[in-house]
Amino acid sequence: MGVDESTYERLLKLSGEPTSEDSLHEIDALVAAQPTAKARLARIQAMLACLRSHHAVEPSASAKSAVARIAAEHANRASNRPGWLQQVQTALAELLFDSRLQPALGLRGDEPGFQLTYEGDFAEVDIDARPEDGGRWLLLGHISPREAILIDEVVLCPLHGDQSVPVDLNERGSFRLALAKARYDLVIRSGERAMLIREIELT
Amino acid sequence: MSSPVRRTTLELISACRDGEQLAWNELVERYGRLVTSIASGYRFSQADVDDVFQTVFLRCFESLTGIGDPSKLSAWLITTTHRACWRLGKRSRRYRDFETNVADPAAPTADALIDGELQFLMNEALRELGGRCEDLLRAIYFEPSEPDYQMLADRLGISPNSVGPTKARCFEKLEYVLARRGFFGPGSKSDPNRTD
Repeated sequence: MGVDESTYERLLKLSGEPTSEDSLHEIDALVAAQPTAKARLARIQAMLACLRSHHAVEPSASAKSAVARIAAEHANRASNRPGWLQQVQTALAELLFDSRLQPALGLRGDEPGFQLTYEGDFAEVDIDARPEDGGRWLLLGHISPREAILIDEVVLCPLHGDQSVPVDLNERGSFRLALAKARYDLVIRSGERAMLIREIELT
Repeated sequence: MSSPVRRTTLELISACRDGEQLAWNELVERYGRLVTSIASGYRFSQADVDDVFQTVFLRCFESLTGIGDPSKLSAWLITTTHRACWRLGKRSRRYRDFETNVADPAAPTADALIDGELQFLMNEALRELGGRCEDLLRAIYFEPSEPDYQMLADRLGISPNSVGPTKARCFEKLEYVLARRGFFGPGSKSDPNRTD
């Protein structure tokens, strides 16, 4: 698709100007003289159309900083998570209920700790977190699959430092763990799908 | 000094999955403008554009394993950004009649996806071009002040008579970079062989 330099320069200049009869005639003449110019002209016009409609907007410094912090946390999380998580399709579970957010109408009760309910792609998860003596926490949970599926693996991944903690479910789909003070992600795998509950804060 | 070898999208995603901090930063650097450009197109406030930016990349970080084909990453980001903008516009009282004026992007049109992809390819190609050519072409086509040939000549340190030929050479180099990146691929909107 070769055209000589001066033809290319001329095609570019004519394409960049407002269309006139003279410019259209000149383009026709250039294409007639060098048939390969037709395809090059089409490319030039496609590029100019994109450049003219281009409105690349730089992210603000504050947005980039915020995402950089999230990225750093994520990098750390990724290294703490089990290797199989890279092979499955993971979706965030949605928080449906957080007892800490309920208005003080006598609904919260006096017990320390909090309760959470999440809904994910294939299961609902109830969590009951209770602080214990010595700064540790008792985490109780129940996983209710919405479909007739098997839960293959459940893992608690601390956001910083330690390795992930495997979670054993009893026959009713419940678990009970004593944990160190930290923030954890809970990952539930069924086949090639996984649900992710982010940042259960036991602090 | 030679410029660092630029990772492919597949390499970048793989490094992100391995927990490499630099890879995450590079992902945001590479695709950040794509996200903010779409959000800015909705005429949101800067704060809301920032909100969309953070939402989209948070979802990206969590969903990277589900994206699968690296070539689909930019399309995924475009779709996710449009949806995040739609949700924000719908729930925010700052944008009256948003639902009336803006179509639900639950299924962004093929044209919207193609436009977004072409814009992304163009930006990536300019970055690859780098140096004087990138500076010149961005100045000519992206600066709102539309510098004239004298201003461009002063900026580049060349004579005004050289600006036209330099622009043409840079444009041609950009064309080759874009061709290599599939900008003119068969069936694409920019395909010169399309008959529709």
